[in-house]
Amino acid sequence: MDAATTHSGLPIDAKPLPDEPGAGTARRSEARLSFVRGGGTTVLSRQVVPYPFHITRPFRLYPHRPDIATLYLQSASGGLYRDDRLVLDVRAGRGANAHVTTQSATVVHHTGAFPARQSTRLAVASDAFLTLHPDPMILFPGAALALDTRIVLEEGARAIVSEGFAHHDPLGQGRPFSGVELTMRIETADGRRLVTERSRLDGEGFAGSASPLGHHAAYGAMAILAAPEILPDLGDLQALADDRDCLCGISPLPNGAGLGARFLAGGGGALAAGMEAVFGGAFAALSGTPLARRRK
Amino acid sequence: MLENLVALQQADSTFPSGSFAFSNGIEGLAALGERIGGEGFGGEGLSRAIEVVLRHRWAGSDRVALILSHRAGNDIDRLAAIDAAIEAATIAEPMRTGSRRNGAALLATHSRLGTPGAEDLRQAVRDRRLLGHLPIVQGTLWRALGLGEGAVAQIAGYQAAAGCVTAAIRLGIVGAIEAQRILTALLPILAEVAGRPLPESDPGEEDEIVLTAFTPLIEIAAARHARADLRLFAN
Repeated sequence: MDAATTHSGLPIDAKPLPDEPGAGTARRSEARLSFVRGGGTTVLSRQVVPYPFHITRPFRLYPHRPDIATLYLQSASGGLYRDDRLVLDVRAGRGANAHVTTQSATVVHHTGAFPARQSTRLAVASDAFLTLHPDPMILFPGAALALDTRIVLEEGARAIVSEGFAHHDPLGQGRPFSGVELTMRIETADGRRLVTERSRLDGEGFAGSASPLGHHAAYGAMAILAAPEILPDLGDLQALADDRDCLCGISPLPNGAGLGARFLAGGGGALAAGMEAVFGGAFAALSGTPLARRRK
Repeated sequence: MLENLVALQQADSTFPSGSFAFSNGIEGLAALGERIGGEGFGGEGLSRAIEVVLRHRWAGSDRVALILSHRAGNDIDRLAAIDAAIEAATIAEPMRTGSRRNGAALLATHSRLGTPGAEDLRQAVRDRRLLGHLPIVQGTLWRALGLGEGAVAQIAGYQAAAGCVTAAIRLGIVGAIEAQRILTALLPILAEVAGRPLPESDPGEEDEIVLTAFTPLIEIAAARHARADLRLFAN
C-alpha cells in the first residue's frame, strides 16, 4: 500500500502527469458492488469492477464484529482525466455492514474544457450500515471535476458518506484548478427528498480574494445519516476535527436526515486527518464499535 | 414613481421585517477570530464575507427561489415546491431556521398591514402546506404590492448585504462610516448578480428548481456559533 505523497502530506496514487491541456483519454465505466448479510457476516455478493476501478477483497478488521466488511476501492489508472465519466453503484442489502474506503487520494489531472465526472449511487436497505469514506480528490491546475452523489435510504438504514477536494499545484506556481461541481441528493426509498445540495466553484472564485473557503485550500463534507437517537453529539465530533488543525462545523441536516459536517483545512493532509477523526466518531456511534485502524 | 416608493419602503431599515435578529453567519465568523486567517475578522473580512454571500449563496439560491416565487404568484402548490427545495438545499441548520423565522416575521408584519395575499400565505404555513422561507414570502408579497422581478431582486439583495453590515456594526466589528464604505464597494457586485437573467423553468419537469450555493466557511461559522453560550444574534 505504498503511495506517493504531496508536500502537504496527503498520499496520492499517482505521480503528476505532464499537465498539458487535455492530457489523458476519456473513459466510460460503471462499477457495481452489492453487499448482503449472510452466515453472520457481510459478503460481497456481486461485483462488476471494470477498468479503471479496482477493489481489494473485503477485509475483516473487527474480530468481535465479523459482520463488518471493509473494502478498499481505488483507481488503477492514476487518477481522473478529461471527459472521464465514471459511475459507482454500491448497494447494501438488509442487515449488511459494509465500509468502503480508498487506499489513497485520487488525482484529477488537467481536463481542458471537458470535466471529469464521477457519479455515485448508494442504496442502503433497512437495518443496513454503509459507509463510503474516500480520501479527498486532489485537484491539479486546470482540473475540472463534477461529483454527483445520490443516496437512497430505506427505513432504519444508516450511512456515512463523505467527499472532499484539495487544491495542489505540483510546481507551486499558484495555478488554480478549473472548477468543481458537487451534487448530493439524499432521499427515502419511497422517493421523498431529504437533502438536495448543489455546489459550484470555479478556479477564479477559489483563488480570488473572496473565496468561499477563506484562506483554506481544502474542503470536505460528510453526511452522517441515521435515526436521531443514535447520532453522536455535535460538539464531541467537532472537537475531534479541531484537534487536527481542521476547521469543522456540524449541524442537523434538513428533514431529519441526520447530521451534515463541513471541513476546511490548509491542505489535503490536515483535511483528511480531520475528516478521518470525525468519521471515526460517527462510525463508532452508528456501528456500536470503534473504528479499526486501516492500513494505507 | 409609486413602484420606486414602495421599493424604498420595503427596503427601509425601519420596516419591521424581523431581519435584525439574524447576522447570517457574521457573528460566527467574528468568533472564529484568527482561525480564519490574518488578524481576525475586521472590515476586510466583512467585505469578503458579504461578497461570498452575494456571489456564492444569494445569487444561485435565495435569488433564484425569490424570482421563482415572484413568478408563482398565489399558486400555493408551486410556492410549496419552491419552499421545499430551499429547505432541502440549506444544509446548515442555523441558516435554515433563520430563513424560516425571518420569513415568518416578515409574513406576520404584512398580515397585520393587510398586504394582499399575506393572510392566505400565512394560513398555508399554519396548515403546514409550506414552511414559509424568507425568499418565498418576499417574492410573493412584494409582487402583490406591485413590484416587478427586477425591483424584488434589488431589495432582497440589498437587504442581504445591508443585514450583514448592520450586524457587524452592532457587534462592534466596524463603525457606521466604514460599514457604508464597504456597502458602497459591494453595490456593483450586487447589481451584477441581481441583474442576472433567470430562464423560465417548466414546473412539470423533475428537479427543475435548481438552487446552487457554496459557502462552507460561513456555514461552519454559523454551525459553531449555534453552540456558543453567549450570542447576540439567532444565527
